[in-house]
Amino acid sequence: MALKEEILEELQKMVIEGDYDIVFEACQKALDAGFAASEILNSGLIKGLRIVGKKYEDKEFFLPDLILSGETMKEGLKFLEPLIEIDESSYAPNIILGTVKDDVHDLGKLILSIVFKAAGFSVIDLGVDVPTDTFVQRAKETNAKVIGASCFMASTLKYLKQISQALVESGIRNDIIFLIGGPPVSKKIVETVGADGYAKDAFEAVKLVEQLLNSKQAS
Amino acid sequence: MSRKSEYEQSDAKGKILLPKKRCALAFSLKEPDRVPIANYGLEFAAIDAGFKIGEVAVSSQKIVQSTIQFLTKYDFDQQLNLSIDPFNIEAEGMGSKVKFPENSMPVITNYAVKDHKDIYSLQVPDPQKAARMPVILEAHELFLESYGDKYSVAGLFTSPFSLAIGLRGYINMIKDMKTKPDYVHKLLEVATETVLEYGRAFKEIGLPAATILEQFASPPNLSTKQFDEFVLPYVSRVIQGLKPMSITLGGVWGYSFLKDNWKDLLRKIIASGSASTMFLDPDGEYIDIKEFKRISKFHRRSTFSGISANLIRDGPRELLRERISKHCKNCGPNGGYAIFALYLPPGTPPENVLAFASFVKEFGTYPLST
Repeated sequence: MALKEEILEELQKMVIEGDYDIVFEACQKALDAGFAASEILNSGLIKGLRIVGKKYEDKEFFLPDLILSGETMKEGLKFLEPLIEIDESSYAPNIILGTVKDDVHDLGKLILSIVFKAAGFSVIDLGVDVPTDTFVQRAKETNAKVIGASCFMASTLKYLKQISQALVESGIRNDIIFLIGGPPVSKKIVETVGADGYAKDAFEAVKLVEQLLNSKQAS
Repeated sequence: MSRKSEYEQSDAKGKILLPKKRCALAFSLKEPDRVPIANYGLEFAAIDAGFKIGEVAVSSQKIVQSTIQFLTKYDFDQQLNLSIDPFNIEAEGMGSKVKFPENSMPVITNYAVKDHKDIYSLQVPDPQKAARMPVILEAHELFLESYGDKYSVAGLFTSPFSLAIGLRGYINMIKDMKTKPDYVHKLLEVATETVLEYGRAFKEIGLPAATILEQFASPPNLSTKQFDEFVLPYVSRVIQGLKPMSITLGGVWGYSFLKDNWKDLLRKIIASGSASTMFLDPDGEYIDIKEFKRISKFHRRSTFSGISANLIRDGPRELLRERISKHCKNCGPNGGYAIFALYLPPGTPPENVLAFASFVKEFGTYPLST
């Protein structure tokens, strides 16, 4: 039993220390010890990621720590995903993330992606320079509950409004929470765009999404 | 009145100074007639002058036209960057691919260093020939020739660390710093030589001062340990290597992330040889800005403070007025201080830009009201 706990702790430690280049070896070791892939993911990697998220929120960790943990998680997932049996009923709410058209800034979105995963969300990352139609199309295809559109430059703010309008035109605006973020975004921009909100950082974004999902469910 | 006598008059106490003199006094730790007003970011100015952002990004003439029209119309004292996207210029010159959207800022779409072996083919570019480096140098030269008697002109180039990110990408750099630090140092060596070469080209034009733009190496983007290893030694080399130019390490933010240790970062920046210090919103809301100014002045450094872009764009106007009043009251006494718009986003109402300048005049005119 002690050995089993040690294996899980080692996995958590790897995520905390950002050992992205060797995590698959630890995953293999855990599989060999009899752990199910889903247990390695939930009790090892995700648990480690939550610790990192908390330390970053408390300003004990810096962004590189968070990024390396996210990369470790990504490498671990690559190894484990084919081995995990998918139970669609247990799906966490889908959140679609992407950076708007003509904008290739990835960092803010990447942080969001890591923090949302640590909070138990299923994240679909559309990448950067994403055309407006792609946000809408992917939201429909995946039955997403939330769209998070990132915009780093003031000159690409116009695409946030475009996404908002496209969601209305496609008839899914009322079914979806539309959040926006990035340095040029403010409360006033949220009103202009017609979005549901924005957050100053990734942790505030998670709280906001949880709160909005709960209110939606209640209504 | 001849220009010479205009300058002589402007030296006297109680007279309104020319922007150049006002800035010179503030940067030499003296009290001018009022706190100088500067601007960072050229997109607003480009659009306001009737140009598309994409065309100003590649034209020295349009950079100069946008700048002078902005300074004159809004009564600012200095434009900190004579380029639309200063953080891309050297990386583009070294082979990173840049996309130029017509109506938004150019962005790097393809990094020059995709693989570790690519570093060995990197070369220090010739600033007179490589990509847009000559365009930016020409813009500074033109501005200096045409308006240098009235306005201060300073160079602006990327720091070695931020340039390395423009060549390799932030995520890759973070991964390399953990697993291949020697490789990162090799990349930083080439970046440092490039920045020095570009800096010398600014020096040859006759610019006495420049800012090194360090948009990436700030907490929480880097830990203090990483800052000490991968940023400071290279920045110091650039500052020492370009003497007697007066070089400021600018763009570092994130003091508030360090909580009580923010003074350590400030002291490191001072120790690098940076001519001035700078804090940017929202740090100004979380750290003791009076103490920031005191430490800077003690070490014979002038201080810049940057006011939030979104606050200038969106208001409320009263909050903007309060913020400027706070900065001027805490950092303005005894001079050695300038305030700047930390980027003016396209879409900022022109009346807000005018209000920004008028609030600085209201609270930043010497003698300051207590």
